Amino acid sequence: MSTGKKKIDPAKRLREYDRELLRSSFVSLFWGVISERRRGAKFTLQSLADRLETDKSAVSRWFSGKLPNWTVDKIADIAGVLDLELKIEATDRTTGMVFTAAGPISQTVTISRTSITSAEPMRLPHFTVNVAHPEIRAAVGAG
Amino acid sequence: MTFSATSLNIVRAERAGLIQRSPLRPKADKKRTLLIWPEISELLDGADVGTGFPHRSADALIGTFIAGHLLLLSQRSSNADMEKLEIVDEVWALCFRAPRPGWRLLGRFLEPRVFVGLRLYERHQLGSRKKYSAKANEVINDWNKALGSIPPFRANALGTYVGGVFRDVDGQEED
Repeated sequence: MSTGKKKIDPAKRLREYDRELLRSSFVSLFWGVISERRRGAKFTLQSLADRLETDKSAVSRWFSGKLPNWTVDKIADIAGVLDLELKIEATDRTTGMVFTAAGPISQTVTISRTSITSAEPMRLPHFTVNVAHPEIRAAVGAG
Repeated sequence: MTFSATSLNIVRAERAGLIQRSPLRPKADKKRTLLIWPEISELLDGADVGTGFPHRSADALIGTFIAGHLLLLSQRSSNADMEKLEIVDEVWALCFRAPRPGWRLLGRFLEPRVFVGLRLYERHQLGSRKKYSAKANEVINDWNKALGSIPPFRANALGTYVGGVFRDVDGQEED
């Protein structure tokens, strides 16, 4: 075995990771639903395959290791057959702001020190609160 | 509100020198914990060019494990993400199919959802079942040295070990 440190392109590694984890998210999501359905009622991979108009072995392969690269249409089909409503949202990694297809759903509130009077100067000139929880929104008047 | 607590056993493991492996994109709501030696972590990040690490498949398996996503579990199949070795006391393998020829991170569960990976072997190094068990016994020795009196987690059902979403491939009950 040769030794030495491997040259790595961090951006490429992260890109591949993101792809794999997104695939994994869908596969895991659907398998979680299927597992639950199989516990409570007669639900088989064959019935799922029939409703998707594909064969059972193909369906079984989706959940057998190698992560499938489903099209959006396929994801919609599987969700439809399982009678699931998918909720899509995205979080800005930098700001924490959450977006849906209908726009942002969280709000950033900036509280400035200019509204505070004190003989002792504050150490922090200002701070930012990322508000998502309704109770916190109400507390800071972000309603 | 999200509340995150570290168990006493995890603290003990970290005091013994084990570290919590983070996925490439760390998230606050992790569902499982992977503890490994720093040397293994460095190897997974490409410290030795001959191993083929880092590899997207291995990165993804670690990310999948920590995120609580679907894991294929088995006691007798080599085609699983995690295999519980039948002939050794509470020793599991986290199975990296790639880089080739495949690698096995052998270890034990400290608690439900907390896997301690103590030794990383190339699949060829493990060879036959007999040799496999010899290597697995080394894991038990490592465990005793690092964690002393803490017993490994024991359960009847494979899914109880990993929590989250899993598939017991030994069952294959569905049709």
